[in-house]
This record gives sequence, C-alpha cells and structure tokens, in this order.
Amino acid sequence: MSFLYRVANRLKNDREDSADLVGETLMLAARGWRRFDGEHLKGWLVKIMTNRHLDDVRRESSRIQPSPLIDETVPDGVDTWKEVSWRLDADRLMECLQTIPEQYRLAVHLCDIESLSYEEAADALEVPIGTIRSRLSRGRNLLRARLNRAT
Amino acid sequence: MNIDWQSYQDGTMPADQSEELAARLASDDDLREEYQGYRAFVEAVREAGMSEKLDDSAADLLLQRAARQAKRGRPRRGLQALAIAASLLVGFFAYRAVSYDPMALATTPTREIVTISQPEGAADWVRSKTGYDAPAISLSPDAVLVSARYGDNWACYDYESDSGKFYLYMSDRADHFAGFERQGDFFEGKGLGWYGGDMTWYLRGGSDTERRLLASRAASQTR
Repeated sequence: MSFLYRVANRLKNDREDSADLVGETLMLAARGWRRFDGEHLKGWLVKIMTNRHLDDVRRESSRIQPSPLIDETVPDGVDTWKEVSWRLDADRLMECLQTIPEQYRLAVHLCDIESLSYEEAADALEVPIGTIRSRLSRGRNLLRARLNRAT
Repeated sequence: MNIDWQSYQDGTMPADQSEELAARLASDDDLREEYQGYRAFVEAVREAGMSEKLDDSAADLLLQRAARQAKRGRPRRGLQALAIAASLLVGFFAYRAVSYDPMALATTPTREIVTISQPEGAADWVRSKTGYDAPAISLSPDAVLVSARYGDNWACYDYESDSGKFYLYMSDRADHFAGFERQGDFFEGKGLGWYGGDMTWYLRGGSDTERRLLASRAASQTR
C-alpha cells in the first residue's frame, strides 16, 4: 500500500486526491485481476494508476486552460554531481522532484525510489526501455539542476 | 565533465568504454569524486523517497471518507475502491513477542503482524518490511490468507481452512534444514521445507497429506 501511496503522491499534489487514486487503482486491479499475467505486480499497478490519472488529466484539461510550456533545458556542463552531493537534503529533494515534469518525475521515482528495473518501469508506463533510460537520465539531471538552483 | 554515469553504473556502457573509464577512475581523484557524487545523489533520492512521510492516517482517511459517503447515501466513484482499500488495511498491530515457531524458520519473535486477505497485498507488505522478494501465494481455494507477519530474518503468511491453520514461512536462502529428511524436492520435519528462488520456504500445519499437497502448490509459485 505504501508503494501505491508514494507513486500517487508523485502524480497528485493533494492528499485526498492521492487517497482517491490509490482506492480507484485497487478497485480497477481487483476488477481486472484476471488480466494480470503474474509478472511485475508493481508495474501492473502503476500502469493502472497512471492510466486512471491520465483520465483525470484529460477531464481537467477540457476545462482548464493549458499552462505555457516551461523551458526544461538542463544547463550543460555547469552543474556537477560532486557539487550537488552536499545539497542532498531529503525534504528539499522531494520538493524539487515534485517540480520536474511528470514523465521524468515518474521515471526517477519508479527506477530510483521503487527500484523497478528498466523493463518493469517501461512496461508500467507503456514506453520502450530506451525511453525509460533517457527519461531517467534527463530526470536526474533536471533534479540536480533544480537542487542546485534551490540552494 | 559529460560522462554517462548511468550507462557505466547499469552496465549498458560498451565494454571497452567501461574499462577505459574504470582505469581513469582508478587514477583520477577528481573524476572519482564526481562519480561518488553521482552515486550519492542516486542513493539520496532513493532514501528520500522511501522515507517520505506518508500520512499515518491514510487508511483512516479512506475509511472516514467511505463512511461519510455511505451516510450521505450518494454513490461515489471511489466508494467501492475505498471499501476494497479498507479491506486491505484492516489494521496493523505491532507485537513484540507473539507466537513464533522455533522449529521452523521463525527463530525470533514476531515484530509486526498485519491482518490481510489479499495475497498480493501481503506480498507487497512483506517486501516493504523485509526486503525479501516475496511473491503473492494462493495456497488453495480453501485456505484463505488471514495475516502476514515478520521477525528478524523471516516472514510468514498465515492461512486458515476448514481443516485448520497453515503457516508459510520464508527466509533467506541458507541451509535451514540440517537433520531434515529429504523427500523429493522437500525436506521433511514437523513441516515441509524447500528452496524456491533465492529463498527458503517452510510450510507448517494440517495433516501430512494436505500439507504435501499445499506445499506442492506453494512451491510451484515460489520458483
């Protein structure tokens, strides 16, 4: 359960929305249990959760004006891992993670926090393994840049 | 410094480049410091995420909302979901010295037990508590999962059926069955033990015949 809450928290910014999403994910999982192939339970649940979340986003986007795109360019060669390593405060890290775009945030969360393999994460997000690898790389770089900027 | 540390760390970097980088790391303090920074970053993300404070009352929240919706008598999209979630979160009880079985893999007292009826939920819980790669195991249609628990170096799924209780213990893969009689794939003591995946398994409870049948079913799900 805590695993599902953590992923829901990456997708939603509201505690009650997260709880709803976890509940709905469990309901859909129970209904669709026969379709589960017995492998990668976490990945399967994430797939259900992200698809359910996308439904919410689509519904919302039909009512809300899209916000302007933010330039997500990672400054090249400016930051180093060595430099960021003394700024690794857990609270700030999670705050910054929440600010990077969802596709990168999820890749970092699933691979780095939940320790899903590339294959599991790719299956969960329904993208090729190469895409997961590049999203993870970009997500880490964005997170590093945000951390450096935040301090 | 634009090195693809991710490929280096996950082993997807071509062998010749990886060897060259390893050689550089051995001789270049600055580069080594940069790699250590990268590793520290990845580890810090994992630790920060795992220690994220999940609302302690998350389960309460689900139950309260379900109750509130039920009182209003209005169907709500998530109501059924909340009920299912609530059934998975029936309750957590922490015990320090509840029953343990020194004849099985549980050689230390139970640290924590959770009442749970969903095998996949129990597996998830055991994994989160112990780090074991615990699979979800359905013992048989007649043996219903009632709880999961763990102690130092072991965990257990508890089942109940009309003929009694069954306890499926798991632990690290190690020689736990010294002195047991080998019967095919199983080690026979007061219960039946076997090795599956990277783990050791031990089933207690029921009659010899029933235990053997259920152990075979469980073993097929632990490979």
